[in-house]
This record gives sequence, structure tokens and C-alpha cells, in this order.
Amino acid sequence: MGKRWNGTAANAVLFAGSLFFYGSGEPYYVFLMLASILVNYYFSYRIAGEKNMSLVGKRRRKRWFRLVVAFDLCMLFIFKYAFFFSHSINQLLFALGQWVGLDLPLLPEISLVNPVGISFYTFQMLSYVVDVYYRKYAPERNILCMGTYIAMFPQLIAGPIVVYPEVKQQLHERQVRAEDFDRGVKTFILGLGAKVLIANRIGLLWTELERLGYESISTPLAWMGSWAYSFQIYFDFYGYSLMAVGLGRMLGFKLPDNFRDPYVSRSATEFWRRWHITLGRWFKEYLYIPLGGSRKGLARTLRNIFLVWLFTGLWHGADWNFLIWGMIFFVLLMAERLFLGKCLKKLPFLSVPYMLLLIPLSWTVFALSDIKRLGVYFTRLFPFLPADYNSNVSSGDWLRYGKTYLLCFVCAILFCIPPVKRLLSKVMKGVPGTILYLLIFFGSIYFLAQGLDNPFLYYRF
Amino acid sequence: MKKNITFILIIVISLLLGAYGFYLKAKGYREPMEGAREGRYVALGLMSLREGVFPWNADEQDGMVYAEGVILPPTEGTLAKENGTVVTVTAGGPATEPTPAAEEAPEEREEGSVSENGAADPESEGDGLTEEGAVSENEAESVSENEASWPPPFVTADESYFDDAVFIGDSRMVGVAYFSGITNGHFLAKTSMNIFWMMNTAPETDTTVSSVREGLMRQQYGKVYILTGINEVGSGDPQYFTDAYRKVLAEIRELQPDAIIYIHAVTHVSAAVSAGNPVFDNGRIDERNEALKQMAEEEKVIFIDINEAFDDENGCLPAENSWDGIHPSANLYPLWKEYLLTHTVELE
Repeated sequence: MGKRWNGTAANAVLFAGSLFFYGSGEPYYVFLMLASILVNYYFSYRIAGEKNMSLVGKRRRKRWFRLVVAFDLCMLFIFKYAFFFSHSINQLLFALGQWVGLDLPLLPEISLVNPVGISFYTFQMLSYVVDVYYRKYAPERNILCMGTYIAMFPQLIAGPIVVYPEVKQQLHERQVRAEDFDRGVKTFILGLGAKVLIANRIGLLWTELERLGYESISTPLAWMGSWAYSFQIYFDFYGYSLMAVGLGRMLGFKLPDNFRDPYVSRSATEFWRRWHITLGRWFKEYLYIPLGGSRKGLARTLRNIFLVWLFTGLWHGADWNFLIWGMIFFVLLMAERLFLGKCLKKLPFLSVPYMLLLIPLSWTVFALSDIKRLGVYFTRLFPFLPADYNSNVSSGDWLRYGKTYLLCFVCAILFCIPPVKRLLSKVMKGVPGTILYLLIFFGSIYFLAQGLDNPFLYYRF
Repeated sequence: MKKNITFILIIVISLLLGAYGFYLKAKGYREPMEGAREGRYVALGLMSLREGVFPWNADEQDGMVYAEGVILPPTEGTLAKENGTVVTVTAGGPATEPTPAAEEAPEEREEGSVSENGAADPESEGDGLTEEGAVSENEAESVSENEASWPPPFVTADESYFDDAVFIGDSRMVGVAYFSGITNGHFLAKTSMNIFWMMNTAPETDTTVSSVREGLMRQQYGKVYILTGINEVGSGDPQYFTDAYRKVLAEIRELQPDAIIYIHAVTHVSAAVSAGNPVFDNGRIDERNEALKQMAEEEKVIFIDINEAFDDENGCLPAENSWDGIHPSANLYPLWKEYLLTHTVELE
């Protein structure tokens, strides 16, 4: 039997510790997050506290609800999207002015540094106030509990996006048994290994290609590079999610899984049920379904899917390539819903080339915000596309890099396959298991110490 | 208790590594240099295993200065550690004698076989190097008669000039190997190569040899091109750099007595990198290039200012020609070949 912790004391420590961790990286923005927590707490309290069910009361509730949602979205917009928005409009105005022959006035372009994790915690706060408004549950009276829910450090910076019911009970009273703690430690170690031993290493290939300049890489090397990035982003994010779940378990929380072997998906639809599960869940619950989901006819459904992917793309980054990336999935998901899905079910072998193309190509679009360089990269991937630059490919480059990164690729591919993971989880028990976990842990620390660290790819989200 | 053995072991091992790192740090291991980040105790414990520092030789760590995992002697005349053996270092002299690892510094000096002015001590344990040291002395004397005409004027050569050339260097030289269009000559280059470890480095461009030294022992070349310096900008001052360079030059001269030696300038970084980085700063790079130019005159090697081929008007690598501000894009390397061919010399 584990120790049963009184919620308040445990939450105080967890909340304070989380603020401390966050503040160490963001000494000013920690106050922004605190302010957001206070605002959301206050308004959700008022919204729920409004007992007056007359029209006046209802209107008041709605007003507060709109106010707090606007506040949350504004914070997100200002700190993450203001520059992209103003800069893009200015580019439009400038082009328009050139065309018309006038010198049009431009918007001020404020560029602010993203507060770390703002996309994650804003979405969590929004899920909370929306649920309270629609009376899904009563609001949290205890501000410490609510604060802990938002700021909890395992999931603050990189998700998973936790909805309040998932942690409500543990926030009030939780218990950590020895075997839970042990499982949490082991999950954490696996996540650390995924990030440091696989993602960081295979990501070096992508960095090397950046350095060469995409004009000078051969086609096989370009495809290798795209796959290297695909593996990097997966193991990076998956690693972080595992670490979050592991830490959560060590603290007494059961945080949701965020990944379920996405690279064995057979369609884009399935992919998005296996990749960043909590984000897909959020958009479905809080955007798709409120808009009507698929219940209001085909045209509405398509519009809803469009809006979901517009915002999913934008959520990932404030730039045009993220919008394009979102739209790619919109087109594919729409196509799958209309006819492609049935096609893939009837001819399952088609899924293989379909996904083998979709995964690296979509991530390449995601990876390159500079549209010009993205274009160059695509002409390398598809050499029959017209190219207009000075190229200087070194023959056999892909063989050289292939040799260097062979082990990385083999490991990455193996760990994407569910049977391999199942086999490993059977093997990693008992004494040899413990030794393996220790090796992974200290091996990761060693590489981190050596300086082969690179920032988490989903970092500024 | 037993259920949490993993966690407990992690804590215990971390404490042990931390204590070990603390002990090593007390012995002077990995003294941070000039803005380099200080190693944390557990990290020190782990790194020490890689660098071959153990409790029984930890005593020698005192006073040793580290540059990116390579041991640098803090001052002339004291200990350095190369490849597991401890050698004494003097400035400007020929290669020194290897001595057993466990001896202390003062005793080293007295037994030391190389004296201050670089002349070989005939009574010391010879291994062939001392005699060659004497030979290089004579060569130095004959060349010094031509001092007035150094460096000789540059002439342009055609591609066949590189038939008997060997190229040694760091990641840019790897780029030259694969992207400059030079198809002849031999390349002994490796990313992250630096002057302190150069002769022992296993080249990535030529896996048939296990070190640059072996590559130079394999055959005789007419020209030796060396490119290094960017990885060493963070360690010590220009004097350390040129001291180590002279050592390498001396060894190369012994292995390749008939070769013309070309040394590249340390390449400039972009303005953005220079401004944002205390180590990779074009001012510091220029200091080293001045020292290199001076050294080239004294050592009778050819200094090649490769920056002339790549720099913009401010003496920086143009931002559009480089992604990271340090390495030029692959499609610019043909300029390197062109520059080398237009800056060759003819020595009688």
C-alpha cells in the first residue's frame, strides 16, 4: 500500500515546483501564465456560480464565457501569431500598393518571443472553461487544484493536452504505490532514450543536409533526409510524451497517451488517431463537434474539417508552411472520407506506398518554413521537377551518409513496429531489464553531457 | 523497496558518479576554459571514462587545460597528454620524447630529452626522431638563406597540380573533398579535426588509414594542404595555437621532406554568428590569422588566405552563402578549388 497524500499539501509542492521549473526558463512569462490561471479560475467560477437562469442570467453567463475565451485566445494570438499576422498583411499591402501605385500605410510588426508551452496550456484552459460553461462538470473551487492542473510540469511544456476530468480525482487525493512509481520511472527512462538516443542522433542527418544546402544533395539522400526528420520528430515528441506520462505516474497521475504507433497507420485518418492523440481529441471536442461535426450534411462536414485543419496547421506554427501542411491533411482526409478510404480498405496493399510517401513528404513541408528552400527540397525529392539553381551534388553522398546513419535508421524503424515493442516489453523484466533501463538512462545522460542535445522540435508551440 | 530498485540504483549511481566527478574536479580535471561551460559532476564522471582519466592518473590533471576533450598544456614546458602517453612540450621545437605516464612534472623536466632551443639531446632515449630533428635543423638553416624572398609569388597551375597533393583538415576540408570538384590528390579530413589531435585523427575521407600520420607515412607527396583553426578558436590564445601548429609542421616535414606545405587561414564566420558568439568571433579569428601569417614566414610554409574567396566586403562569410554561418553551402566549394589553383607556388 502506498502513501495516501493529502491533496492540498501535494498540490502546493507540485504547483510551486512547476512554477519554479517554468520560471527558470521563462522568468517573465511565468507571470503571464499565472495571470491566465487566475483569470480563467475567476471567470469559470462566475460562470458556474450564476444561478439566475433567466434571460438576463443566461446572457451574463454567455458574456463572461465569451470574455474569458477571448482573453485566452488573445493571449495566444498576441504572443504567437501577431507577427505572422501583421507581417503577412503588410506583405499583402505592400504588393497591393505596388500594383496600385500608392504607398500604403503598414501595420506595426511586433515580434514577441513565444512563451514556452503556451499552445498547450491555453488549450487546456479553454477545454476547462468550455466544459464548465456547458455544465459538463462543476468548476474547481480550489484554486490550487486548478493551478496545479494547468501548470503541472510533466505536461506543461509539451503535452499531452489533459482534460480536467482525467486528473480531477487525483488532484484532490492521490496515492502512489511502489509499483506505480517504478512503472513511471521506467516509462520516463524509455522516453528519455527515445529522445536522446534515437531522435537526437538521427536528427543530425537533417542538420547536416541543412548545412550542405539542399541544392547539393542527391535524390536518394533527400529521401533519407526526409525520413530522418520524420523519425526525429516522432521519437522526439513521443519521447517527451512518454517522459510526461512517466513523471505523471511517479506523482500519482494517470496522464493520457499521446501516441499509438502512428507510423504503422494505413491511412491519414488512422494516422491522426495515432499521432498527437490529445490534440486530435481537443479539436474534435471543442471545434469539430460544436460546429456540427458530420451531422449537418456533406457541405457542412467539409467546412468543419477544413476549419479543424486550418487551425491544426496554425497551432503547430505561425507560418505559411504550417498552413500548407494542415491543408494537405484536409485534402487527404476529405478524399479518404469521400472515396479514398474505401479504396484503401479494398486494396490494403496500396496503404504501403501511400503512407511511405505521405509521411516523409508531409513532414518535409512541416520542417521548412522558408518556401523557397522547401521548393528546392522538393525538386531534389522529385528530380523531374524543374530546377533553377546552382547544384553541386557529390556522387555517392547517400552511400556515405547511409553507412554513418545505418544503425540509427535500423533502430528507428524497429521501434516503430508494435511487435518489436511488445517483444521488448517482455524481455525487459527482472534483473536484465533493470540493467537495460540503467544503461539507457546513463547512456542518455552521457550523450546529453557530450552536448549532442538539440531543442525539442515541438518546443515553441 | 525491491519494487523500486531501478530508481534507487539511479540515485545511488548518480551520487557515486557525482562524487567521482567532484573528486576529479578537485584534481583539476576539465578546468573550464574561457567561457566554456563548466562540467557538472555526474557529467564529469562520465566524460572521464571516455577520456581515459582514472583515479590512478588523476593526479596529473592538475594544471591540465581541456579544449573539447583534447588535452592542452596550459604553459610551455609542462605536461600534455597525447594518446595515453605523457609528453613534454616546448615551443617551436621538433617532436618530443614520449615518457611513461605516471611520472610527475618536475621529474619529467629533468629527464626530458628536448631542451629549450629545440636542438636534440644526443644522450636521451632516441627513437629515430632525434636524428631527424638534427636533419630538420639543417634544412632550416638552408631555407633561412632564402628568407628575403619569402613568400614566393603566386602562380596559377592546372588541375594536375593536385596529383601529388594531400589535403588535411576539418569539416570544410571534408566539403572540399566532396564538393570542390578536385578529383585527384588524397584527402585526410575529418569533421571536428583540430591541430592538437591532428596527426592521430582517423580521417573520414579515407578509411584505408587509421590516422593522418599513417596517411602521411604511406607515400611521398609534393604538396601538403592544411586547413584547421575554427575548432580551436575557443582554446587558449593565438600563441597556443601556433605552438601546436609548429609541432605538427615539424612532424609533417619529417614525414614529407620534399613537400611544399600550404596552410589555410582560419575561415571567417558570418556577421551574425560573429556578433552572437563570444568564441566564433571574426576578431579572434583574425588574430589567429595574423599569428599564422607570421608563423608561415618563420616556418617557411605558404599561407593561403582562403577568406579572400568567400568573404563579403566586411570580412565576414555572407549569410546567404551559409546556413549555419560557419560552413559555406556545398555549391560554393568549386570556388575553393579555383582559389587553390590560382595560388600555387613554385619552389626550386
